[in-house]
Amino acid sequence: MNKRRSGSDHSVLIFLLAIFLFCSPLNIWWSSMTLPWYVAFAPWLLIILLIAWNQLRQDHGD
Amino acid sequence: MGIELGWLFAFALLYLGLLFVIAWCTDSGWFPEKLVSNPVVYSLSLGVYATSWTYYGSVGLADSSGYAFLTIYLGLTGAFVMGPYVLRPILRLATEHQLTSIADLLAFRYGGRASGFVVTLFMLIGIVPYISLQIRAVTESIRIISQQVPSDLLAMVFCVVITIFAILFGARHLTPREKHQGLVVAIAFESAIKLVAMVIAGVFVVTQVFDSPSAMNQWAASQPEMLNALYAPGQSGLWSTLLLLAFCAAFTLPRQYHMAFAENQKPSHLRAAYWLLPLYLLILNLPIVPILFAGRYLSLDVPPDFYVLGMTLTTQHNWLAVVVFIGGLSASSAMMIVTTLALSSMCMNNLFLPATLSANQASDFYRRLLWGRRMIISLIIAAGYGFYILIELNVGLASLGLISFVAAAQLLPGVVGLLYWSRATQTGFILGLAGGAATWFALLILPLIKPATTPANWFPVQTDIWTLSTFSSLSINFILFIVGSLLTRPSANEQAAAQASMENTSLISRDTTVALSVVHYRYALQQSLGNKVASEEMQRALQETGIDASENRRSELQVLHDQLERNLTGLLGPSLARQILHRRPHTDDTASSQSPDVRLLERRLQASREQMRGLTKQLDDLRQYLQTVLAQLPLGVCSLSSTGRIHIWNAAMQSMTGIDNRDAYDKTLGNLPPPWGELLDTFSSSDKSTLSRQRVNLNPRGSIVNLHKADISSMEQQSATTFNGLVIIMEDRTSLETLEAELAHSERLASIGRLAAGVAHEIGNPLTGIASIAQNMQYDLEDVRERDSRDSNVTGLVQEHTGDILTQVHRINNIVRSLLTFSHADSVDNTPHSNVRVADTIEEAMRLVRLSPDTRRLQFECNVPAEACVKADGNLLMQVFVNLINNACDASPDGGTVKVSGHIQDRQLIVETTDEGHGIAESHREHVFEPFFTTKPVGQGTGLGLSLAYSIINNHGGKLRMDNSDPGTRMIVTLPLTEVT
Repeated sequence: MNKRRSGSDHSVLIFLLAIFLFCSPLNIWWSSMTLPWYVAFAPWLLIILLIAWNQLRQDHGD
Repeated sequence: MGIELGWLFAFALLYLGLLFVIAWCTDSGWFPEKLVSNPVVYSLSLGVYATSWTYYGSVGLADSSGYAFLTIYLGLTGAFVMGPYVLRPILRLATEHQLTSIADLLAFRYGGRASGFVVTLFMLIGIVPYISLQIRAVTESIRIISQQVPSDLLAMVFCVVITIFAILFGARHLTPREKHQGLVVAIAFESAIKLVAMVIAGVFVVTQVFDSPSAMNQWAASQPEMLNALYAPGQSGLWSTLLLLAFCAAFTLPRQYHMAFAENQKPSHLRAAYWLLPLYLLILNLPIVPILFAGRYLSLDVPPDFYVLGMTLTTQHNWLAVVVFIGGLSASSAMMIVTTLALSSMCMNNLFLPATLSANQASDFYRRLLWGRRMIISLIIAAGYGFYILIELNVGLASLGLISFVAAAQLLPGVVGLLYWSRATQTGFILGLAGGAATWFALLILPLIKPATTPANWFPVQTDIWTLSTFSSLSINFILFIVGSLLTRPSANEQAAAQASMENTSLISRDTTVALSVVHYRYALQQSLGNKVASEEMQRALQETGIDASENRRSELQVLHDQLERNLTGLLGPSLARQILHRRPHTDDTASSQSPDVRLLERRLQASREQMRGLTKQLDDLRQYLQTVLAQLPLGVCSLSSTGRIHIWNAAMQSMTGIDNRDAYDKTLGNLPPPWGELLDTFSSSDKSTLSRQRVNLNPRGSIVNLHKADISSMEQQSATTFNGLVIIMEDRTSLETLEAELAHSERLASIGRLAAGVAHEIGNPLTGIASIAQNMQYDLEDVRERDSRDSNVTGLVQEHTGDILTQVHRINNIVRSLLTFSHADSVDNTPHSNVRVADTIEEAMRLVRLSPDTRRLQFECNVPAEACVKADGNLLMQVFVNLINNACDASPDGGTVKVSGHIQDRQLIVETTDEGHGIAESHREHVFEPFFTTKPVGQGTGLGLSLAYSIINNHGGKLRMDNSDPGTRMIVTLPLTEVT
């Protein structure tokens, strides 16, 4: 139960990180650089991995 | 060179046929349950989010707006990151209250038909263009691959096939609340096909168009303007707008709601989808940019939306064109099927049924519902086809999709209010939705119908149309929603629904008026749904709640009411469910506020435990601890409300009375079955606070109880609580009384023993004197006879008398010795014990008894395990068996058999001595082990044999009891076994 709750708390943290990456001046900064095309997928993949880690950790706790 | 139209048509039909087979096999149970009910399958089915817009349109959007196309998936990822706060509460509500569509969800919260009606109508208007987009994507892809203009007939055939599929596998069950596993697996399969086709296309681009990944990257690096343009939208307002729209679409789009919530089988599947679906979308979108590069690299002469098809044809790879076409067909067909199913349910519950539901329904209402839904599915797909035929749109696929996304986003204020604002009202919701919908229509639809109109110019802000329309429509929507809600008061139903929505509890707490009985509910259902459906729904609810059809307690009827409302909501939607249940003719308006319903409170607290934190959690832990203590208390506890109804009936009370907690709950004491009803009712209404040693005739032996009571309202905390009433505590004294009786009996025996010892001692001394004197007299008489033979007659007579005296003295002496033995039986513990082979002892006892001439008329049988040994005083044990066998001989008729048999059980030796006499009368049975009790004629028994045997066996740690055999009596000796040799 506590694992589930802490998982929910981590969800908020991951969401805030996602906002920081995609909806902040940081987004403007990295999109203004001439980056390889596939770099745009990297922060998305990072968020997915964090969600997966968070969920699998909770499932293991259950 | 293109592919023949006929071939494409054949491939399409073949693929759709395969879908039919997969869905049919699933519904027929051909696939293992493990595969069907799997989080991966569920997550793939949510891939219905990726329609032909994603499949084809993303390349077009990437061409015009760079990486803005990613926001459509990043926004959804955001919603899934916040799943525990956004998706899980909706899933809980949808599951608990059987809310099968987004319209039902909002109608449930913003009570009344109007909310459901408005949402359904708006979604219908907003989504039909999206359906036409799918038809257009399919026909356009055929046109590009075949390089022929397909007739409208082909589009119609596609729509007909999709309609048949949706009807067969989406509207298969009689009631919409059933899950459609076949549909879910088929949609998951379509998602997998989309993914495979897109990945193959991506690999093709990298390896065939550009030769290698590095070659492609080199080419891309040589186009810095293109790369800059790709990343440019990240700095624009469109980026955030699309993120918001996609976030909302995750739960407001009808098809997403249907697959995520209505078809969900386990909450754990949704948790897995939090990351599986974003991962799926990421892989699906990886090839988009390479395909865009390929289109530009090859300078394809097709719209960017269809670069993926154009490049396959340009490079002469027709097989790949077919694969890509099948992937696109998957995207379109999945969206159309699920969307029409979701919309059909919404239309049925919120548009058609409220208008057509009346008294005296046809007997087969379920079938009517089913065919109604099927008809609506056909109509919706026909409307999409009509839109496709009549309105020639010159906008990209992504634009049409975004129009629907902005429409769906108008439900965001309603959902936010549902999850987080209890003050929100129906008026506010409808006002907000109407304002948002009007703005949406003016900014996005009107320019499509009348291209000359430019409502965007009315706004002072100059930005892209998507940002403008989203910002303005949602702003108006939110402002009207808040103002409208603050100006009106939520109704009782809205308050209850808000509580259920926000407090994570499955039960609605409200002052509902419930019917007087189950029959009244059945009547109310019959009025609206007809006899057959009413009976089936009532039976279903009774089974689910475990409530009896004769139930009339208010709390139980409240549970039944809630269950019926849930079931009918799954069938007809929340508005109609409430309307039908309020048609009942007789209601119980006795407000529960007089005394809170403990069971409902308990259920609510139990359901809300997951959400509790801090002090609330600690208080609930304490509550559970006290509840466990109360349940496990060895005293019976019964608490009564201020109205005299039973609230608590603990486990001890159940075992003492034999009355189940469910049967006792909410009854008055007087309504309990006899003898408890009268006893407890009389006691509760009496002035006494204690009632001791009440005999209750439950069985022949009866029970003895002590009763105590206390007035809860007299406690100090009464001002802080509404739990007034009475608590009764019942103590079962039956076993205690039995123990006390046994103790008294032992005491009595001990007293008799002491008395016997005293009497024996006092009688023994003079008796010895008498015996000595009589003996001396005999000796003297013999001397006299020897001296004078003349007096031989006189002396012979006297000698005979002294002989009689000696005989009687001997007899009295035997009695005295028996008394002494009896009185000293307790001292057996002091004598040394040894291992005694019981079989030998019994054989010896039997041999001794057979010495008596009286026993010659009888047969003897002995069958005792030779190996059984007990720790005992051998002589005393011998005496026990001599007594028992002697008694058996005395009781047996001539020619009878005295049997002594033994067996070992649980480390105990059990020896049974059985005779063939008349048995012992019931009235004598209680006294046979008492000293001086005998059924033998006077002078033939002392009445000490059995009591002596009883004492000896008891002192050896064993038991002696008596049982009637047929015929005769069976004496059963149980002794603890020391060893078996």
